[in-house]
Amino acid sequence: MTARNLFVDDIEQLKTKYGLAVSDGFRPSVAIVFSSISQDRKAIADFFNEKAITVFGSTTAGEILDNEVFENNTVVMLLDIRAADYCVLYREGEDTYQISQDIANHALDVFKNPAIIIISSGIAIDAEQIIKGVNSVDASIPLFGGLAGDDLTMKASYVFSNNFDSSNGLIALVINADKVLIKGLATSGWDDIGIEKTITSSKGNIVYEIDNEPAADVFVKFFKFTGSVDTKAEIIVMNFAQYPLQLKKDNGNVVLRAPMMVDANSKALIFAGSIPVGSKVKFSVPPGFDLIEKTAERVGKLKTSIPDPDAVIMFSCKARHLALGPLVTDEAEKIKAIWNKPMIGFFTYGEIGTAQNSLCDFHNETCSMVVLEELK
Amino acid sequence: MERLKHLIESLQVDSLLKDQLITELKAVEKELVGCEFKYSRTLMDKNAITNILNASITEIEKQKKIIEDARNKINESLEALDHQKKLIEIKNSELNNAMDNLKATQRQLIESEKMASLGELTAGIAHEIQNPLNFVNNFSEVNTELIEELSTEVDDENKKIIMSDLKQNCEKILFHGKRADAIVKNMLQHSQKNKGAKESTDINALADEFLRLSYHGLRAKDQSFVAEYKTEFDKSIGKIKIFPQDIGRVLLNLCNNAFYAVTEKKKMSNADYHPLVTITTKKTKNALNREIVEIVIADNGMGIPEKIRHKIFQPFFTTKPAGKGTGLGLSLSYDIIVKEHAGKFFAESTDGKGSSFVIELPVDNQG
Repeated sequence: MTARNLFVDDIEQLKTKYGLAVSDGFRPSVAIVFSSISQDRKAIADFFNEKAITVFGSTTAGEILDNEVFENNTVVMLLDIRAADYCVLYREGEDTYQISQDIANHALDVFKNPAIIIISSGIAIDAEQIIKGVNSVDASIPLFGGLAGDDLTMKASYVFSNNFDSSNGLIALVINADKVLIKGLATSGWDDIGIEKTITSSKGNIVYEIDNEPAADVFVKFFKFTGSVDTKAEIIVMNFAQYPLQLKKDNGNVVLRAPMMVDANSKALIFAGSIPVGSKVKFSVPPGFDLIEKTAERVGKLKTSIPDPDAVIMFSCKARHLALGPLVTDEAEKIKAIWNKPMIGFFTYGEIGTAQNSLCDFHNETCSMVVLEELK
Repeated sequence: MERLKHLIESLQVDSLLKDQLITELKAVEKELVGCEFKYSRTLMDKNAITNILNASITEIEKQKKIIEDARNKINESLEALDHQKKLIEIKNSELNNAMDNLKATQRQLIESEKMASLGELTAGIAHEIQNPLNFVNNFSEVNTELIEELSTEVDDENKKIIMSDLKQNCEKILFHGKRADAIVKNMLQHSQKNKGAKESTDINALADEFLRLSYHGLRAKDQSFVAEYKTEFDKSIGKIKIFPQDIGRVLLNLCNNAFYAVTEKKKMSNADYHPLVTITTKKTKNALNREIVEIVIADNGMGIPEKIRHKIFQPFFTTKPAGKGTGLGLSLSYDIIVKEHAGKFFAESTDGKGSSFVIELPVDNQG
């Protein structure tokens, strides 16, 4: 399997760069498209329709291509994966759990041993339902992915394909795991700090009260935040998302939960993943700048299981981008250097993956890697 | 940075070096931006960490205070519990005391009931015996007279001797009949309801009088009688209303018994033994907190053996040899103190060391 990466500013550039990429007879079957909401997704999808290439697309909060990091652009990875070894599935609907079940069932219809790379749109979605939905069908299906971004406007994110575009849906790249080796790892590095607190009122991913105080008030109090929390979504993410709650789940997984939005009326915080009542949480803070080395070191361990992949996909939390600032490029460089193979990715609002010594879970603040190698 | 770029471009050096310099400059610029970011990032995190830790400390202190308050409350509760425990213990011992008192009172009640019925029985028997006894006494008297008359009519010496014997026999019957009569009269006193009103009486004077009476009475009967007596009177008692004759009888009876006890001991002891009878009076309060006058007649005699102590107030019970006591003294005394005067009458005794008879008279009778 061959992967070729294209960085595009606009549709004209796409046409030109695509022309160059296929000039040597390269015949891609799939285009992974990670695109800013400011880009013309429709035009891109139409272009690939013409070429009969399947689109697996998502909007972003920043794009990653090889060792570079972009904003407000489009990055494309063309893959000539065999038609018999993949399919792209999408569903739209409020009931995330149910449409995830649908996708898992469909994937099992197509392949005996499927692996799923899934992306969800929706700002207030409870992404944990995706994992629960898929696990309810077959917990052994390898599952990776993330939540689409919208350049931190916190209004609407999208997933899209050739003739599909939804701010309230799921898109899945289902791969025949018998033919394509697929591995992943999610690493965080955020450190917990301060005292343990208890979630005293919540519903799914909406947390109303922490230790019997309105959730937003607790964050405002703890960070001595002086601005208004209900004016601009970006402020919330900028100020709160970098200091997420660390949650120890019943299954032993330790995950981070970053607040995405504030409900001004109830002072509730809307997180990207659910936090049940009774959960013990702690605040966490970004690690030092050695995070980049640590992440690269941990991701590097994947190299033992797949030393020579065809393609690398990276779902990196937007909060990491904010925490690392211009140094995020260093991270991309270091991870790219592990395999030195085509790498595509974007900055997400949440990641689905498996942390070390853990079960597949929904995360925040992680760098979630997926590596693919088509078996000869 | 821009100025440096312009400066490099304006340099009169070959373009390769110029490009190299520009590249270097860009690398430095990148480094600089990174450092600036690191600085502000570190500052931001430092603030956040400080805030989180401070808020955590505040919260911990709050919780610490809650825990301390709770601990104080628990301690207070413990103290209160301790206090209550002590109160309960006090109440318990009070209850136990009350229970003991109740048991003692019950015992006394049963005893006095028994005594009362025994007293009535005694009086009943006495009444029944009195009539036949009267016949015995009267006819033995008449017989004596008749024998005297008959002896004047008879000259035969032998017959005279027989008649003299008959007369002596009748006199013996009369003597012992009179003795029986005296016993019966004593017995009848059990049923005698009191006559007239109580009189204000000086208890100390009464006790003193009957102690002396007893002593001198015994001295008159028996020249060898030797004993000492002592009085310890509480002068604050004043006068109380009693039937003085009856209380006098009781005192005389008890004094006689006491002197008898010490005399008996004297017979069995060496010269070191000094017989002593003591009368003590005292104004005090009983278990029910009522004012009473207590009269104690104590001796240092042989004491009352434990196994007969419960019988001493029963009619006809006596330890004296036949003919010396009727066994009615203490039973009559008991009736007088308990029934007539609503008092208490009991004995305390240590085997071999002596006895004390205690009379408690209620001061309500004070006049």
